Amino acid sequence: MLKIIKNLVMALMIFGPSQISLANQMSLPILSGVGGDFTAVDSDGNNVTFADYKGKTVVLAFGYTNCADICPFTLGYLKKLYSNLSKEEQEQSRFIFVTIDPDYDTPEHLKAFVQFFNKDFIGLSGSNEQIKHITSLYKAEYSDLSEGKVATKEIRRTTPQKTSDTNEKASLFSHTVVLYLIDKEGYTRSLEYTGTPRDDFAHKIRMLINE
Amino acid sequence: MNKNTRMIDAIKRLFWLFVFVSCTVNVMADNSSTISTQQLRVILPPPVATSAAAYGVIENTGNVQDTLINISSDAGMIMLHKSEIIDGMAKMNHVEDYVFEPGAQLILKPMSYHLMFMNINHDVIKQDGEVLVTLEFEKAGKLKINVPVSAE
Repeated sequence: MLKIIKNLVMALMIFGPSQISLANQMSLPILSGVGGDFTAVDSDGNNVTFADYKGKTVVLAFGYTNCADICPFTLGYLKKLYSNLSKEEQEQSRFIFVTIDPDYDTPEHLKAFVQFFNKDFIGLSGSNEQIKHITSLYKAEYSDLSEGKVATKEIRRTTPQKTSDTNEKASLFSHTVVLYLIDKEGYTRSLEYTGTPRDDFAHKIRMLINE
Repeated sequence: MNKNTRMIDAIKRLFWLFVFVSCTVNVMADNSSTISTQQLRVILPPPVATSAAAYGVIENTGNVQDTLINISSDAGMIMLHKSEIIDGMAKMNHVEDYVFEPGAQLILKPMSYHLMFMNINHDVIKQDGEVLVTLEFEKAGKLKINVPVSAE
């Protein structure tokens, strides 16, 4: 025990508190209360549970396909991040994009959207209740911006995904931009952003793959 | 006053009139609004996307304030939007009548100001395509720009 304390003191003297703190950060502790198992519908229309991805390191993002700026930018970032990984690391990871607009983002539509960025990316959709449950698990808030903003039914009027419901306004959302890094057991281990240097993010993914 | 003197007087008057008009034009030019753009590009969206964004720089290179009052395009409905990240949440607002101070730049970039296209025409916003965007300013008038479609 004394030896351990001595080693810790030595480490503090050599590396200083900032480096020790960085080392602790890089240990990626479990973020309790963020995440959990859920059910959804995958890109091929199959019912899935998050436990189906057990054994893989997951990067999970929320968004929607009518988003012009942040969601495509985020998926573009994830595309580059994914390409930072080796083939083997890609095999051991899953990049998942959960829609917060399931009425519009059907599995087929979502699949075409996310796979534009990478063929391996997975889009998860489901019922409104399922999406609400997933976002509540991940403390991922979202809200409809359409009130008093753009008449979203007009946006959809001439789009391939037509809606006949004139009361349906769920096209522009405010939503979380967090990228969740989840380990092979399904525990959330880190919260990242598109501002995270890709090499740092890739390093964390590798850490979880190699655990 | 002989004929030659009258001629010289007329030439003198014409000269001063020319000087006056030139100065007036120059003063007007110095106080006019000049808008330029740099690196404007539309990001190629997925084929199923209904919206797209354009980034780049719009600059008021003149020395008077001007206001962007309208935007239109052949590629779909277009607006100036601003995304903001507040407490980890992305929020997006429509920006109306953006005011450019003399020399000011508006930088359009991801997660910030951007031109947002809706109901996009994929025959126009396509790989290697070019989109016509018209920026209308209060003083500078309409500025028509051919904006290339880019991967990023």
